[in-house]
Amino acid sequence: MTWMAWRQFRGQFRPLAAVVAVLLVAFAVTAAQITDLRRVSGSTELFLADLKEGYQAYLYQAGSAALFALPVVVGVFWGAPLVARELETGTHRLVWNQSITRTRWLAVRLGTVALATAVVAGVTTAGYGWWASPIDAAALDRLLPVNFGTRGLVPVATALFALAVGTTAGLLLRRTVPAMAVTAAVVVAVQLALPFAVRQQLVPPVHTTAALDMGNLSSMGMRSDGTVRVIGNFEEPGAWILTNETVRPDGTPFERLDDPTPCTRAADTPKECEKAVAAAGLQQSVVYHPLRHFWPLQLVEAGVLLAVAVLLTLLSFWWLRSRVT
Amino acid sequence: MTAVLRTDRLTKDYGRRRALTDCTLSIPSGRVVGLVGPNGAGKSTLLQLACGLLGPTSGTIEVLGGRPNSGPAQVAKVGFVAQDTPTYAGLSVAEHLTLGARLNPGWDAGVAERRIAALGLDPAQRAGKLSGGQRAQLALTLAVAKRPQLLILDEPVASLDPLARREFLQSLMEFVAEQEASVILSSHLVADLERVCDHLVVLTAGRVQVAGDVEDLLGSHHRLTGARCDPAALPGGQELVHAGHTAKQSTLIVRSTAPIDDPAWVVEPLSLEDVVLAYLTEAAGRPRVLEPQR
Repeated sequence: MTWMAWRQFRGQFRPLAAVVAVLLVAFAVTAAQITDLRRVSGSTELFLADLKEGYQAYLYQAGSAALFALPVVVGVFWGAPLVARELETGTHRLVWNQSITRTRWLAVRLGTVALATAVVAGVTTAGYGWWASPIDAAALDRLLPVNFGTRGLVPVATALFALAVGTTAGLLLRRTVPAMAVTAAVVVAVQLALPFAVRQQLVPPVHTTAALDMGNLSSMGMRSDGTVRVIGNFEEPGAWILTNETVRPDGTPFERLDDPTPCTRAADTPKECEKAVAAAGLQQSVVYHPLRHFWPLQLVEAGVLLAVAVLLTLLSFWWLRSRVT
Repeated sequence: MTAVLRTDRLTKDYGRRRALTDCTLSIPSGRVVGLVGPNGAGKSTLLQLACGLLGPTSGTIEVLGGRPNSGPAQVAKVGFVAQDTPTYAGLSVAEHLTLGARLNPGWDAGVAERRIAALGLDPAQRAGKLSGGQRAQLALTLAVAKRPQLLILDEPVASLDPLARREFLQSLMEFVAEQEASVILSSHLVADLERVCDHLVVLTAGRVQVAGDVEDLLGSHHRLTGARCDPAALPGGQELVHAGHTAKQSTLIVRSTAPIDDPAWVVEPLSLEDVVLAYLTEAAGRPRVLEPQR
């Protein structure tokens, strides 16, 4: 059955494997130049500025785009047709009447594709992570939503999850093209939902409160009705800031002064307003994930994705045995 | 003698639609069985239940003494050629044989290669480029080389031209002669089955109308022609299948194991097609006089 599974899969495997191979070769060839650039640049600021000038910026973005696209491609082109194409062309009636149960048939076919998915996603994320490691060490932005999903274990887990979504959709819908569309929609939605709604909660974030430093503000603005908006800078290298609020000493959100006069049009200069705000004893309240949360977040997120993938796979097997006719 | 196929009150629903109703059958082994009925009668449903592609809604089905789809050993005993004879369009003829060899422990490579050679198929040709007849032959080769005890074919010749049809049925008969296996094949055309079958099952609207060996069916069905009368007046032991009347004359199709020697009737034998048509017209509820076939 492995012969059959590979024979049916190789046509879909080769194009994607070729693209990944090209990317890996590009990483291998240019990695030394990045290390050189890092040494020559001296400071991290100069290094990052130099990177933006060169072709490395394109390769960096290409790698990132490839790792975001990989799960979608795997789900749509490897997962969705896996069962749907057989049902569509009627070949399931041929193959399920050889001396093999349909459970074993799906196990071998899905197992083959899952193994290829893990290997392809694994070498891509490993190669990219290795190539970009000097950049990551300088920019300290691995935890930010634009990068987190392209590093470590998450791309592998997302790709396996997408494969399970595609296979299940194909099995339930029984048509390749609708299954592809549903798979693409679900995988992209999950990729967006993870950084915007889910990831924050996977590991408890750090909450700090400190006196607001009026000498280190990221923004301050006042409106004619006396509303004041003041946000302090939060500088922890590599942190993923979830919320950064200014609160009163009692912890309630700060919106305006008790006596708003210094910050209305009646006041002579903005200085007066600043002075009054500084005297209000405001606190800066920040919720964030420090850089050390990178691996705990990676492990939990990958675990959640893999758990859902396993559940979808179990559903597929159950459906195949009891529902598909 | 054990039954190759035994069903008891077998019923299959697709959602709300009932495809097969209380079907009770027992088909002896060593037969070439024709399953005949109009389109939508439930033939495909019954055959797919027999090979385990479908599960019954209620009732039981037993194939070669085992429950269909109960494991690889059961699947190995039954060969199945599905409707429209599906093959993998992207795989070559040779790769289909590899598929068969890899997935069937009892695979007979000699039989498969001899058949492909005899058919004149190019092993390197992709199945998607084959003609309908060649594809059907390839599907049959896969089913036959697995050396099944029972071979099931679902409308195997429906989409073939008359020549391909004859060639296909010929290869089927060669298989039967070589391997002494049982065969069940379905068709909505009696003419296809007449040549090859020695047992017949007539299915209409999800119900079995009649089942039996062809010889017995031919020997026990008669066309009676005589003066117009009430068919209810038939003596015991004679079962009315179909009645047609003109102003003066009645034509009855009657099932009776004992010979009919009532001088009031002209008794004629029936062709297999006449017998089947009598059941089909009666089930369809369309009164029609069957003319003797010439």
